Parts: sequence; structure tokens; C-alpha cells
Amino acid sequence: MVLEEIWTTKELFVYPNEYIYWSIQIVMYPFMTGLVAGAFVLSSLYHLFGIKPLKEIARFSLVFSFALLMVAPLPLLFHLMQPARNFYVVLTPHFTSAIAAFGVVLFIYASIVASELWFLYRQHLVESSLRLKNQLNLSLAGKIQLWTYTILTLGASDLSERALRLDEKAIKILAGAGVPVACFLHGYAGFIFGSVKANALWMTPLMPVIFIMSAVVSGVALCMLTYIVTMEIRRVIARRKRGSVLYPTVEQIRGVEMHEMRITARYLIFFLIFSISLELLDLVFRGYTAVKSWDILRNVIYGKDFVNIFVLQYILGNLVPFILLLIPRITIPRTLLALILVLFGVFMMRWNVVIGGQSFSLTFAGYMHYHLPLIPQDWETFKEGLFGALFIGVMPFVLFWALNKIFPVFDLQRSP
Amino acid sequence: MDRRSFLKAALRGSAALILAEGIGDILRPASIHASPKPLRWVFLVDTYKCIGCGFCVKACKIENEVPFEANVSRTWVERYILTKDGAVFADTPQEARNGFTSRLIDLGEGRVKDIPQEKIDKAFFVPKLCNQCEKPPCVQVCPVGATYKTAEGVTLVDRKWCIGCGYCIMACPYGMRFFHPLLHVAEKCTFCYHRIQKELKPACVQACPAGARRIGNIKDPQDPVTQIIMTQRVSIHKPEYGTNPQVYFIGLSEEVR
Amino acid sequence: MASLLGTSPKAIRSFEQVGTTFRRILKTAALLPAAEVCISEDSASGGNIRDCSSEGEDPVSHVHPSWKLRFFHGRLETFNSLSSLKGSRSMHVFRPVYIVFALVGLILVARTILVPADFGIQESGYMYGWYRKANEKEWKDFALKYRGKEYCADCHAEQDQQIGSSRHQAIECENCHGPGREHPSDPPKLDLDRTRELCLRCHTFLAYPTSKRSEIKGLDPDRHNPGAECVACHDPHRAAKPG
Repeated sequence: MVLEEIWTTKELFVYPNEYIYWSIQIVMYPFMTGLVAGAFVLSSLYHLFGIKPLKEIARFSLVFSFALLMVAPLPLLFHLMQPARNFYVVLTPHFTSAIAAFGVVLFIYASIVASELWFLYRQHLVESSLRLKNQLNLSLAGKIQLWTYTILTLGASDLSERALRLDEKAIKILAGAGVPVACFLHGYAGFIFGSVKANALWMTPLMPVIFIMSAVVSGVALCMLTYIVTMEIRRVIARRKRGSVLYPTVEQIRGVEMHEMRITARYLIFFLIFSISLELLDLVFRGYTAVKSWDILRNVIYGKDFVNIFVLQYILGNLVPFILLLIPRITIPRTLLALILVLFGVFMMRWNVVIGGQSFSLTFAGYMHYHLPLIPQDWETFKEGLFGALFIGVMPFVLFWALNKIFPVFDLQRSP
Repeated sequence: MDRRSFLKAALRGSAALILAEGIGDILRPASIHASPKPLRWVFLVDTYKCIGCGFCVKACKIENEVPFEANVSRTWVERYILTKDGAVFADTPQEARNGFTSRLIDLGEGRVKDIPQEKIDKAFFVPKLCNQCEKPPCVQVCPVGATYKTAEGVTLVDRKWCIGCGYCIMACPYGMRFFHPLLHVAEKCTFCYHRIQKELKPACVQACPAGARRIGNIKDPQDPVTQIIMTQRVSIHKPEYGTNPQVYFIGLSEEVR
Repeated sequence: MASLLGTSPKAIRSFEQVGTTFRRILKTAALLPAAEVCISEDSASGGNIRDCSSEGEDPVSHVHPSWKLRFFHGRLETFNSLSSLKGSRSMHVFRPVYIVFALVGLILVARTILVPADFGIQESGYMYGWYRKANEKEWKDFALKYRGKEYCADCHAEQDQQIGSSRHQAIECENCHGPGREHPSDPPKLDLDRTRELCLRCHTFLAYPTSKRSEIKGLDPDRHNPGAECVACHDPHRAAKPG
């Protein structure tokens, strides 16, 4: 009858009301917001600091950040026991709670990303709406396109040099303002865990910083990964459509710019080092100070969760990609493998924090085991199970594909 | 005033403030007792008297409409057995809703342990319920203002406003909160708020045949519970979390988790 | 005003130096390529790749000036263009801001409709007292189930006397008979628990030296008539041995 009993088993002495209440969707949520923040920071590296070689991937990661942003609230909606009341957090926010920051931060961040996207694509929107307006005999799809473009221009059709330069200024300001907001978007998620004094594993002031660092890692990795995959797919399609007038030629699709990948990989390595250092620091401190909770935590970290933490997260998710990226003469397949492992490592970090923190009882004398529902038998086992998580994982790509129709990422002739 | 005397005064002033804060901590029940509000509910649990019958859990579940067969409860009883060779065993089979009707200790996952009577050094029962903290961390973390502390110190949940995020459940160091299995909102012990308003006793207090559970008003010096708290040696559960719990225990042994 | 924005020639030169140093640091940390590769956008056939790390470029070129230089020159330009506008063309840069403000306004209006009037900071302050006041009354109106011994004794005085002079006097009637609720109107008859397990709650003997449990007369349920109902032989109201 108790919902959480479906995926929780208890061992030794556990309080009656203790279950794994925060399950897979609460693992997905910081993972998604981390990707959002990381993708935006990557985009800002170009717009703010003018690191020219990152121009192509910058546009890509901004659009992808927006797609991720729209998916980010979904895990929470799936998790809430009363999802219909989700907007109460905006109506009566209790700001002593870190979760109440969600409404405000998400809104501010969404405004910044949406505005930056608008400035980036304004020229394209105006030109597209003009082109469609001048076309005769528009189909229904064409009419919808025309309306979409016209509304999105917000009536700002000035395409003079001065106006475009103003667009550039605005993008730079927004990119600059957005970086601390992106950090806050994910820092507060770390604060949600780090401030819970009742949970011996979560409570540490390092938690927000660890979350932010691994967020940037995951965002950069995801953008690189999707960029590589998309460019390669386009090359394959171009090769197949050789001779087709409408499709760009293989030569015109420049393919993956290796120098862009190399530079981005360096940033990735830097943030990887930082994030693993913080986690190891936390572990060393805990072992050294050995407070009351250390006995049970040691059993969880070095015993029950040893494979999850050391093998999957630290070695496979951090050390192996680190080595792969540092080996000279980097190739695309090696980069791809390293990026997949990095994303896996970041996911395992979220898993080890959320599930790991609920793996021991408040009694410090018992354990709880999490059994992720694999095959959905009803709505509950779907939304808090494997398929719910996969759904969330796939949605950003679906949205990205849809967004690409309005805000094309590739073959954009001119943009700031 | 010259600089030296200013510094001296500032130093003395801050030392006085720090000292006052510290004394306030030590004299906690007394400081609540002294403040102007007329009513503050407190609870007294006597672990020497508890016989582990579990009638309190049954009464609480029925009174407060928590499904009886569900493995959650607003209150429960724990059993501790300390053996002569220093081992400690603890259990709370089905949150003691059917009492303790067996010597076998429940180890979870279907396993049990039998301790022969002659090996037992100490054994006792500890009833647990929401501490109605003076500084409830569960209220602090509610993002929408669905849970709150009333003027009389009882923490309640607004069932119509709770969004079911579960943050309050994670924030309670005592594991007192859970999701109501049918209503799907946060749930916790309310000191039977609806009963104490009408000068009735909470269901668990009334049901207890041994007098192990008592409720009182710390602001009333004539209240027998207040007199025990102010004059006898009582303790609170997990003081290190700084929650200022208002359930006082007699005989809370150091093995109690 | 120009000096406030830091765009005097001297300021620009010093900022340029800072920019150069910053880029040098990035190059040393291998976060920037040693020779910055740029693709100029003026070529239609896919672009020439050329080295753009030299500093002698046109400061306001869009292709590759030092970033700090470009930033501050851009600020000066924005300021100049803003001050020369004066109603000639609308400032399209603020369109998104207007939309954000409109959305915020919408939320504030929605709040006045959707948030109950009595929701606010109550006696316990903002941290512990942020709630809907009417909920307190909702809890006070929660239905009573258990009525207590005195309620039963009103009609069942004989049983009350009987058990009151036995060793079971401390046990509430409703512990075994179930909650009174609105008895006798609803329910007309209470559901008595006659099961063995009810009695075993106290009468399974547990030899716990430091607990009052060990002082209750008890037995080993596996040995004493296992499976049988206790009330078949024992009368709980008299709490004496059978017979």
C-alpha cells in the first residue's frame, strides 16, 4: 500500500517511515539542470570571451540549452505526489526552502536564454518571415511557418548594421549575466542536498560547488557529443544525396572541426579535475574526522556502494575519459567514448548522492536498498522507473530537433 | 568616549550577549516556560513504564485515519535488547501496531534473531512520536508553506496545499514524516491537535495502560508534566541537530537510536 | 561620460594590455590554441583559415579584435547610438524585457486570484509560520473516534465496575472494543477484537530485566494452547484464571 515499498527493501534497524522517497526522477533532475548550465557556459565562452574557435558549437549549445531547459521541470512533475499543485511554489514561495528558489531561478534563467536566442536569431527570423511573405500560394504548413516567424520577430524588423551590432551587445550582456544565473540554477540544486542536516551524507558545504563543477562537465560533454554525432550524421546524409541541388555538398558541410573539439576538450579536462578533487576532498575529510555517522557511511561508501562510487563514477566516469582525452593525436572515436563515459560518470555522481544518501537509516544501524522499477506495470512504476527516466533522457533531443526547424543550428549564413 | 573605553564596552557587551545565548540554550524548557505565550504543548515519555503493548500505535492509526495495514505510522515503539557481551539489537516489527508478541528480533528481509533470556543484560521499549520541535527543520524546508508551527507549538500539515515534494520527509532527523498512502500528501503526528483543543488526551496517551505517555502545557506551572520536566532528570532525542525537540524522555539510554 | 565608461585612449590601451595578458595566460594553460585560428566570413566559398592572433587589427572589426578592446569600444558605440536615437527608431533590444515584465505581471495578477486571502505570515514568523490560517480550524474539526472510559461508563457501568476492580483496570475499553465514535447511533455495535494476538500484546512473556514488561504475568504463546482464542477460557473483564 505504501508506494515507496515497491522499490525499497530495508535491512536491520530502520525507522518505520523511512523509505527511498527521492528516487530516479530526483536523480534525473540535477542531471538535466546540470546539462542546462553546462551547455550555457559553453555557449558563453564564445559570446562573452570571444574565443573564436568555439563559434559553431556555441550556437549549437545555446539552442540545446534551451531544449534541455524545457525538459528540466519534467522530472519534478513526475516526482510530485500532487503534480497539479506544482505552481504553488510560484504562488506562495517559502524562501527559507532551497526548492522555493526553483520558480524564481528557472524563470530568470529561461528569460535570459530565450532572450539570447532571440537576439542570436533575429536576423534569420526577420529574413525568413520576409521571404515567406513574398512567396505566393503558401501551403498551410507555409502559412504556419510565416505566422511563427512573424510573431517571433516581435516586430523588430530593423536589420541595419547598427541594429545588428546592438544585437551583438545584447548577446554579450546576456551571456555574461547568464553565467552566474546558470551557476545558481545548479548551485541551488546542490544546496537542496547540502543543507539537509538530517542526512549525514548530504550535509556538507562542498555540495553546491561539487554540483556546479560536475554540471559544467556534463554540459560541455553533452554538447560536444551531440555536435560530433550530428555533424557526422549530416556528412553521411550529404554523401548519400550527392548531386541533389537542395542539400549542401560534402565539402560545404565542413564536418567536425577538430580544433574546436580539442579546445573544448581542454576545458572539459580542467573542470573534470576540479570536480573530482572536491569529491575526494570531501571523502578524505569524512574519513579523517570520523564523526558519529562515519561508521555507517564507511559501510555504504566502501562496502555496499563501492562499485557504484569507485569503479563506475571515479574510474570509468573520470579517470578513463581523462586519460583518453590526454593521449596525444586525439581522434573522434576516442573523443566520443570519453564523452559518453564522462556523461555516465556525472549521472553516477547524481545517483550516488541521491540514492546513496538514502541507503542508510537515520538510526545509523540499518540499510535501505533501491530497486529501480524496470518494467512499468502502472503509471507509478512508469514515472518513477527506468522508462520514465529514459523518456526524460530522450525528450531534449526531440525538442532540439523541433527547435532546429525555427532556430536552425547549421548552415546559418550570417549570425553574430 | 575614548577608543579604549569604547573597545572595552564593546567587548563586554558581546561577551554578555554570547553568554546570554549560551545560558538560554542550557535552560531550554525554562526559557520556553518563561516566554509570554500562555500555551505550549510538550510531551513526556517514560521508557521505564512502557510495556510494548502497542495499543498506542493502534489507537493513533485509527484515530487519525492512517491505514492500519500500511507500513507507516505517526508513532511507533522500538525495542532494544542489550546482551551481556555488549551487542545491541533493536527492532520495531510493523511499527509495533500489533505490539511485541514474540521474543524473536526482526532483522528485516525476513530474518529474525532469537536471544535467550539469560543472555539479556538490559531490554526496554521506547515509544517515539513527533517531537514538535521549537525549530522544526521540516517547516524550514517546505517550499510552499504547506507545513507550519502553530502558536501553541504543534507542527501541522495543510493537506490542501502540500505538493508532495517530500523535502520535509528528508529534513526530519527523527524520521517522523511520511506520505499518507491514500491522500498522497505529507503526514505526521499532530499531538492529536483536534483532541487537545477539546481538552481530551491524544489517542496514544489515552490508550496507554502503563502511563508511559503524557502530554502537558509547559507554560502551566501546576501541570504535573511540567513539574516533572522542570524538577526531574529528563532528556531529549538527538539534541545535536539543534531542533529543540519538545518531547522529553525519562530513561533515554545512550543505545537508543 | 566617456571616461566613466573607461573608454579614454589611455584606458583603452591599459585594458588592451589586460586583454593581451589574459589571452596569453589562456594560451599557456592550453585553453586557447597558440595560434588563434579564425575563419573570416567574407569569403563565400567556405572561408579562409588564417591566423588572427596579431594585435594590429582594426579595433572595431567584427572578425578578430582583442575582446576587451572590442567590448569597450562597443559600449562607447552603443552609448553614442543610444544618445543619437531620440525617438527616431524604436529600441528593439528591449522587446524581450517587455515580455518578461508582462509575464511577471501575469503571475502577480494570478496570485491575487489563486492564493487564499488568509495565507500569510502568522504568529510563528516567516520561517515557521508561513501558511493558510484556515487550515488550523480544518484540523480542529477533525472527527473524534476514541471517546474514553468515562463515555462508556455512562451506559455500561456494570462492566466498568467489573474491570475497574480487576488487574485490567488500566486498559481502556476501546483498546479491545474498538473506538466508540458516535456509538450507540453510529456504529450501533462495536467490533470486539477477540483474537489471540490482542492478548499476546502484553501476555507474551518477555524477561526484560529493566522493563515493566517482565512484571506482567505472561506465557510462551507457542506452548500454551497455540492457535486457540484466549477468551474461550479467560474473562478479560475479571482478569483471573479460568474457573
